[in-house]
Amino acid sequence: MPAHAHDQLCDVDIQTESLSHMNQASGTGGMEGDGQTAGSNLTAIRVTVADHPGVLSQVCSLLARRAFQAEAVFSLPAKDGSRTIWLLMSSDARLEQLSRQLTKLCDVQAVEFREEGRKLLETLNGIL
Amino acid sequence: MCAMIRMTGAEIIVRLLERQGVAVVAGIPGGANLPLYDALSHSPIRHVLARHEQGAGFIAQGMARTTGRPAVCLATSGPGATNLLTAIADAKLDSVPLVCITGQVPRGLLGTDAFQEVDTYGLAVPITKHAWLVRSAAELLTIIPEAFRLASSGRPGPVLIDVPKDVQQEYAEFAHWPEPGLPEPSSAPIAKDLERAAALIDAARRPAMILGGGVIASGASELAVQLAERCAMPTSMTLMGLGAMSADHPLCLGMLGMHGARCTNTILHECDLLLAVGMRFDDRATGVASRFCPEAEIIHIDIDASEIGKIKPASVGLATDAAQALQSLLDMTQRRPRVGWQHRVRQIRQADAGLEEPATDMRTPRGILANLAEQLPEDAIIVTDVGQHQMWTAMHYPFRRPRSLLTSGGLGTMGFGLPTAIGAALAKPEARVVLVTGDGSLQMNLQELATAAEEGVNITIVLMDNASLGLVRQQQDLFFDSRNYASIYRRGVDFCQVARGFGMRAANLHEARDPYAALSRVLCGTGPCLIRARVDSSDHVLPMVPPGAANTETIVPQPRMKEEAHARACA
Repeated sequence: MPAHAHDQLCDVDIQTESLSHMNQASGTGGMEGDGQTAGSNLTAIRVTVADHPGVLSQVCSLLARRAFQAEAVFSLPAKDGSRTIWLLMSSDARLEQLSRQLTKLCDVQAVEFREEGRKLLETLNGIL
Repeated sequence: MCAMIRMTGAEIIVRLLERQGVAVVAGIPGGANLPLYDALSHSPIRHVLARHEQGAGFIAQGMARTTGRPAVCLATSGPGATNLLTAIADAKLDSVPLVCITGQVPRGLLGTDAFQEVDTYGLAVPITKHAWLVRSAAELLTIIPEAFRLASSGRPGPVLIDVPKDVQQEYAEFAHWPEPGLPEPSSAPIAKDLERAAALIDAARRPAMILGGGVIASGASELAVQLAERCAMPTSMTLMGLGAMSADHPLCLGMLGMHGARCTNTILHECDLLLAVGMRFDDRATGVASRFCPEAEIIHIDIDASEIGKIKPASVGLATDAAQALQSLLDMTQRRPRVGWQHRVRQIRQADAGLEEPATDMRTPRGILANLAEQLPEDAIIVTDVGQHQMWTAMHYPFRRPRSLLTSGGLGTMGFGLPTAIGAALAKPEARVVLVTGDGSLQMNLQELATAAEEGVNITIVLMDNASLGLVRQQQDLFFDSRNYASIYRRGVDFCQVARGFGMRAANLHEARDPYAALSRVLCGTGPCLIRARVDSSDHVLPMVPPGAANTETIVPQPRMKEEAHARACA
């Protein structure tokens, strides 16, 4: 057995690799290059879901198990009986993947990237 | 005007299962699902009483993996539900359609830490396509058909319905029955993407194809073979895809990845176009993803859009049903012989010839598998557990048909095999079902021997007994300086005696004067039986790509290694 074969190997973080691939592939990285503050390197996502007890846990559980860190989560009922969940996410390249995973949840009706949502959530943060 | 129908929640569930065409369910009753079981006692549905809820989950998996249709398992609240979870998680990772129905404490006790209360819904969310906590009997009329629709639509998978006991007992009135839930057709592939894919294939000089479990789920095996022939694409399969192309086909490269043949991984390494169909670039298949098929443009067909680009960026992604996409590509691509590439493929394969000598000795795993392959009909169903025996089976058994291998791929669940084999035999009583297992795996759901004997299912258990956790031991040998800690059973088990105790026939292969004849005897009999073969515990599954390495960094069998192994065995 060539004992050296594995000595040179280290565990490669596939997660990190796929990040850079997704970045090239989807181009969703928020690299505007206009000297942004850390606060503006965030993306707001509006998720419209069927409303029932447990739906918020479904969305948050997905974030946790797919290793996404939400900066803010804001949930409120919508007029038509659905629910709106705002997610403020750091603008990393995996957001397209996050959007696809969210879309797979049965209770999710729409996933939208919304620029105005970011300011809204930041204002909210200031008030609270 | 039609009269209203008045029924309890439990009766509604059972009637809806009947209307879905469910003929067999597996499960275990308990306090919180007794109303459901009482309703089931009046139904023509056959109930198979498992000995552990995980067994019930895998029996259902065996039926679902054999037929492709959703299968049902039942459990009570609390430990009943938690015992199911492993089988559900296994179904999620291998995209197996399951409908799990669990009892729950009455609504008024929810959230009070009542006896046998656990947050089944919350536990199920991350390992199902969807989960419901039913809050009224009337809701069942929409939830049950929806559960079957979801489990079988798109990428199949498990769903769970948690039904409080008082919902099972509550009456609901309704005018008519809902339609059974059926799989939804997938959206058609986008024409522009198909054109780009066809152009890439036509332009490729060294195209190759990988077929995954999605090809089998979609029933696209025949189309995949035709496309491989049309475009002269050597074709490999993931563990879940084995059987999609017959092992006898000249273009078939067998399994790729960690325990793929070296030549298979080399050919994929050299391809300039990879057509990946119904597979998800699992790390056991790709090795280090960035160094997998480094020169290839990738066309990725998968019904689950979130798989496209998840691990490897695709030049063209087709988020659609494999059969639809392959049919279109058959119509749009040019027939080309690619003589140069075929020559190169032959060359690579020849370099590997003679790496391993042919095996017929019945005292070795490969010899047993060769004899099984010789004796079993083409439509036999092979079920495996998880470990060395599983990889040897995947590498050496010539799978010729889709759904002829049932194995735990994504979750790698030891204990999968026995109950899954029972489920396969229930779904296809006329088929010959053979479970190839190891002593480590068999002991993880050993209690289901009682279920097999009670149901009298036609399964043959071929037990490769090395008195150890062979794949763990192998990794310790290779990567932990042979410190075989906690991987060897210090006390042997008389498995034949155990099997007989459960009420089934059993034989020791090495005690038989003619092992070949002994094997054919157990393969011809009816009812369950176990044949135990003692195998060398120092055997390694080779070739092997170490975890975290690229697929080109293969450990291959070497004469020196064999001698060392032999010396160890003798010592």
